[in-house]
Amino acid sequence: MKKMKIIKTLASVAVLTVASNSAWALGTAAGTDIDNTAEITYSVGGTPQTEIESSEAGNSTPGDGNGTATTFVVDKKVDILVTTGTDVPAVPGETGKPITFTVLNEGNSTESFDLVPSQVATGDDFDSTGCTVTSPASPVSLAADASATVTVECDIPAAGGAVANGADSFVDLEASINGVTESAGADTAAGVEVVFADDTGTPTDGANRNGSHSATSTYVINTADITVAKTSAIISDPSNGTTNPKRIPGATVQYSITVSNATGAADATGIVISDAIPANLTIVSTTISGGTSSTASAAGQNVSSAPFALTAGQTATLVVTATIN
Amino acid sequence: MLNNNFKKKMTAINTIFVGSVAAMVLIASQAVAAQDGHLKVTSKVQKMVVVNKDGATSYKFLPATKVLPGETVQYNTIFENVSNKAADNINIVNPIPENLVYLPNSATGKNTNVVFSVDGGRNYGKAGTLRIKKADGKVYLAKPSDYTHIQWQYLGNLAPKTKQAVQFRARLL
Repeated sequence: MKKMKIIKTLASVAVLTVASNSAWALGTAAGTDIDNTAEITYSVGGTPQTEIESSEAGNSTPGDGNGTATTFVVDKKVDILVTTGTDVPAVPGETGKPITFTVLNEGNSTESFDLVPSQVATGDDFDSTGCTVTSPASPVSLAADASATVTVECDIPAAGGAVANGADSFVDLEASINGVTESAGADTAAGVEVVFADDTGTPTDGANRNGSHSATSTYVINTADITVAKTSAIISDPSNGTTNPKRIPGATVQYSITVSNATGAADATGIVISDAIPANLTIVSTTISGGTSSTASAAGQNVSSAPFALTAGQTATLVVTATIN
Repeated sequence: MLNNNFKKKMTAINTIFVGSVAAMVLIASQAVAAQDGHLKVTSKVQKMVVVNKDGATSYKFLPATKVLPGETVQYNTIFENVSNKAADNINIVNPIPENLVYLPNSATGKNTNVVFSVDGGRNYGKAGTLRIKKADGKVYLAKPSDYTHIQWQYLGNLAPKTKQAVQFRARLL
């Protein structure tokens, strides 16, 4: 009877092809019965006889439906894969900085997985602290072939020591099967056994076929790296003009304050340059250029700029021109 | 299950022919024939494991009690002539079970001609000659994974009280 049904469903060859492709991607679900029945036709003395179906113990009763299927049950394959997310640039002192992982259920059943983040002790420059899984909630339930992006949040220590530009910190996420143990002892013919088929992950996981897998994502310190330089120069004096001017009363002097953000550093914003010009000088003008800087002004002997920003590799220069009293 | 089906058949026939002695006799003889075919057919399944030891590859067969996606099973169909007359024109048809893909060149049997179907058992042909129409409307040479049925055409007679076997392998999706 079942055989007839199969033939009907296969009336369209195209449908068959599509169906078998999709089944391959997923893996046959745990608990599926795989039934097989062979059928024999024959003649005796030139007379065709009624067909006989097979059974596991042997069947000799002719006729459709008199055989029984030879059956096995697809067992449960527990397989989990954690993969690393993209590196996360972090600034010293940031709290709850998100970092991601992907967890994929490579088994053939819907399972629940515990998600545990941890610090990797060796191989990196510094350790972040207080790592917790913020999304999704652990344990996470994943259907066969389904994946989830897991977000972990850690605190980045304040700058200093190893926490410098370009320093990295590894964070590990281990996903472990929740509430399922591998079947021990002898097989049972009709039962669904559990087999752990996962690979070895990063050291946190440490072994294959243990129902766990782990991977490491990386924070990289990427902060603004500002340097400041101040130079002075004599431009002219009332006697020599601009030729070998000397610092005599009435001479014009210039202070240049240069602020740079290093190549590869993070953007710096809200930079303000301020400087106190010595007494006995009279400020003539203040100009600023570079980055998003626009205005600088003097109030008495104090010079300051409006807040501005510098991206990596940019430089801003504040020039103060003054005369000696 | 088996007995129930049989009973149902008998009941149906009885209702139609009720009241006719001749018909009852006919049914009785059919019933005897139904329990007494000439061949006994047995289908066994085993899991096949590749063993790599000391640089040599061998195969081990285990009971198909722990089978996971991607693993291989072998089916053996044994047919035994349990009558006292020779049987000929023997054909064994095995639909490839759902969720299994036939493995190339694995269908074998002594003294048999093996043919395959890609259309649910309506037409059969030698491996490598079958064509299949895909979703794009074009016709392609069928791959072993496209096969839906296997047929072994046993050449010659199967003498009384002798048996033969055919087999094939498939991978669990």
